[in-house]
Amino acid sequence: MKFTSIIVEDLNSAAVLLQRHCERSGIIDVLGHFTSAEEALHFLMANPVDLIFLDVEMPGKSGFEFLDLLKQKPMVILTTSRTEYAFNAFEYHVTDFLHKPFTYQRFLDSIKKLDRKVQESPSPESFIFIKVNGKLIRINYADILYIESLGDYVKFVTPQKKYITHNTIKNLEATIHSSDFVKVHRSFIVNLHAVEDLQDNNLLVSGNLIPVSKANKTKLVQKLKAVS
Amino acid sequence: MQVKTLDFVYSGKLDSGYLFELYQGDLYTTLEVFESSILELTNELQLAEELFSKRDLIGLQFLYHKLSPLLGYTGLPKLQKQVQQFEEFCKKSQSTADVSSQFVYINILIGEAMVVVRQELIRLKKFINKRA
Repeated sequence: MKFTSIIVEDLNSAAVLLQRHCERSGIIDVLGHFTSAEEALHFLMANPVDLIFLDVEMPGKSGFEFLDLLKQKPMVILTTSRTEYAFNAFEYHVTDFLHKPFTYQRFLDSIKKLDRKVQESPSPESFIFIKVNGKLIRINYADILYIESLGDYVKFVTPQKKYITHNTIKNLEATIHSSDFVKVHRSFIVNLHAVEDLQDNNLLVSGNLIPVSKANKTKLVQKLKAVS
Repeated sequence: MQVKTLDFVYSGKLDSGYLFELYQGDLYTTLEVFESSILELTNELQLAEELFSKRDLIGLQFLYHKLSPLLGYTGLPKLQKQVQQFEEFCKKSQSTADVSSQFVYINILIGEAMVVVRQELIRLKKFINKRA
């Protein structure tokens, strides 16, 4: 399993080594490094991640103040040079606590804890029920290629079938809690795993050209890197 | 390209076993982190002088807390501990006057360590260039 992550750390040297550890592991994709809680919060509003490597003592907001401000809390690994935060770490349900500088082996132990936590937690929502012709039909997220807006209706496109239901892209964007889906245009949400290629401002998804708006392109490119 | 080797012999003043555990023998990463650490140490020490002259003890405590891992990254875990002790001493003290002699002493130790790390950086670069 791969995890998307960010590093929130005001010490560049610490962030560089942590980034190399992540690269070496092959399972942690670092989408960004931020030197303050404020910058990280701004990024996370548009780019949810699975994991945050978080320094505790930073200029401005501390790591714990930052966690208080997060509406959706991903998994957190605290990185600090003080052990006295261990109790707070426990209270904030962080996955692990890394004491700087930490070795690659210690980092790997932490990643194993992540894996265990994911396996032990109830499986995240992986399907949606939609109402079609008076019936509730279950569609697995993994089967959805893309979702297209048709005014007050949306079309769910899967490899086998297309389903039209009364809903909006805006509502679905808030309903589908999966980092595999991204809104690429005001009328389209796409499953990143179904993307064949991206050329200029068009995505190819199972033979269908999907327009990508300029406003969403940067986020899309970042996400495509994350699942590659 | 990654230069991974056990052939590079670190200065006896650095804890080579500790460095190997940290970097797994990846000399490019070692070089990158050493360069970054020297830059950050230089900036932090400059800031420390400013804070000391402003009698900002809490600022000093925070600064040495931030700075201490940099010594670990450069293979100086014992000095890192000494800096942590100084940080604790700042925490327990009332004013910068109480910590002045320790402040001078710890900065001398860090300054000497930085000379060693800078020399190591030069050797590392030469070694990598030879191998590349």
